[in-house]
This record gives sequence, C-alpha cells and structure tokens, in this order.
Amino acid sequence: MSSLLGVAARALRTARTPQTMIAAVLAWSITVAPAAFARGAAPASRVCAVLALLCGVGGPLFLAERRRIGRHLGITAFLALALGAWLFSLPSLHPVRMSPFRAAIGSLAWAIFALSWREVWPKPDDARKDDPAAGALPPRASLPFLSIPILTFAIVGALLLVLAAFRTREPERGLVAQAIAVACGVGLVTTAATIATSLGKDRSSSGRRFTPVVIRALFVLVSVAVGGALYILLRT
Amino acid sequence: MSRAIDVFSVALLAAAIAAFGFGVVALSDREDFKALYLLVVGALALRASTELLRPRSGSA
Repeated sequence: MSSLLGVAARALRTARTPQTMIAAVLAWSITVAPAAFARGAAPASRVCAVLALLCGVGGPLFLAERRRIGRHLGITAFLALALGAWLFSLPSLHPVRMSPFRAAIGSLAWAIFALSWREVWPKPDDARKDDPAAGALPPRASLPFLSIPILTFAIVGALLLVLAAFRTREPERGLVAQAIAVACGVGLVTTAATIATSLGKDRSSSGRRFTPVVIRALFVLVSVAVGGALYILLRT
Repeated sequence: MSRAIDVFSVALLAAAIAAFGFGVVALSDREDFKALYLLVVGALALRASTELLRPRSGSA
C-alpha cells in the first residue's frame, strides 16, 4: 500500500500526470456529470459517475511506474463507467434535451482526454539501437500502383457513409447511425491505408499465401454472409 | 499469385464499403437486423482483406 502511495506521490511531481487528471475531470464534468446527476437519473448512474471520476483521476497516478494499472484504470475503467453512467441516465441524454454548445465542448473535452493519454514515441529508454545483423531497409522510391486511387476510394466511401447516416429521421436512431458511420469510416480508411501500402509486396518465401489465419477469416466471412442472407430471405 | 491476392484484397475492401453503406441505409430505414448483418459482414470483410496482406512469420 505504501508502495502504491509512493508511486502516486512521485507521479504527481511529473508534468504529465496533472495534465491527464485535469483532462479526465474536464471530460467527466462536461459530459458525464450533467447526465448522471440530472433530475430523474437512476442512482446507479450516480454511482457509476462517481466511480468513473475516481478512476479517471486515479489512473494517471500510476502512469509513470505502474503503466498497465494506470491505463486500465484511467482509460478502460473510466470509459466503461462513463458508459454505464450514460446508459443508466438515458432520458437525460435525449437529443431534445441536449445543448449543441455543450455537445461541442464535450467532444473537444474528450479529444483533449485522448491526447492527454498519448504515447511519446519513441520513448528515450526504448530508443532503437542499431542492429548489426539487420540489413539495410531502403525506403521505396514511389508508392505502389493504385495506392492513391484505393485510398481515395475508401475516403470517398467513408464520407458517403456519414452522408447516408443523415437519412435517418428519428433523433435517437440518427445519433447511433452517425456514430456507426464514423466508426465504419475510420475502419475503412485505416484498412485502405494498410492495403495501399502493402500492394505488390512479396509476402511469402514458400509460395503458400493462404495461411490458416486467412482461411479462417474467409470462412467466417462466407459463413456469416451466407447464413445471414438465408435467414433474411427465409424470414421475409 | 501475389497480384491475385492484391486484387482479392481490394475486392474485399470494396465489398466492405458496400456492406457498410447498405448497413447504414438499412439502419435509417429501421431494418435493425439487416443493418446489423451488413455491418458485421463489412467488418469481417475488412478483417479478411488485411489478413490476406499480413506478412507471414518467417518471411522477409
């Protein structure tokens, strides 16, 4: 126990810990507390909100020396409890009751929270040392053929997803549709970037490209696609 | 073979874009099961497309 207190005391002397704590308090006070402590919110929502605040403030204390604990408390538990607080206070989150100004400030606060947990890379103690056994890794002179069209295609697709979400008429469903569209768009652009930079690489020295992992991924895809399509057809 | 894998991977990406698009449209049309199905298929297609291009262990 005294060891943990020592870790926390030493962390407070660093510049980063207070910044991260303030960012968590900011995000909590703008987006979680107003919903959890609103009139009509369930008591469980208040409990989740208080626990979330404790985790959000406590996590950064372990950032310097007990990194894993710190990240689980400050990110995983904080986000899970904040989500719990919101789920237990859904009437307070109705879009009609939401202030656009507070929503915008809340988005900014969560962006600051995400940045406050940034990793400085490469870390000084992890700085890469030259490996005499490693060969030279010359950079590519140019991007692979079709890289830019593929990435452009994915970015346009991601934007169209967000536009398609605006078709939704109900406010509650619209929020969900927007969130899903943004998440899908991020996934699309990330994957397209991976594909665009991996095109044309020699990925195997033995010639067998369909590894068990690939076959499993394709099998799951085909099974879900065919099974779901059959279920929808039989149901209608 | 490598070119075919590349093409297949891009085709899976296109399939994922289409699945996501129809999924979001289905969601806005209140067809929740269809939306969920299409979004899951899109996510699996994305995963398969990156698994195809992932370097194998032991390769250069």
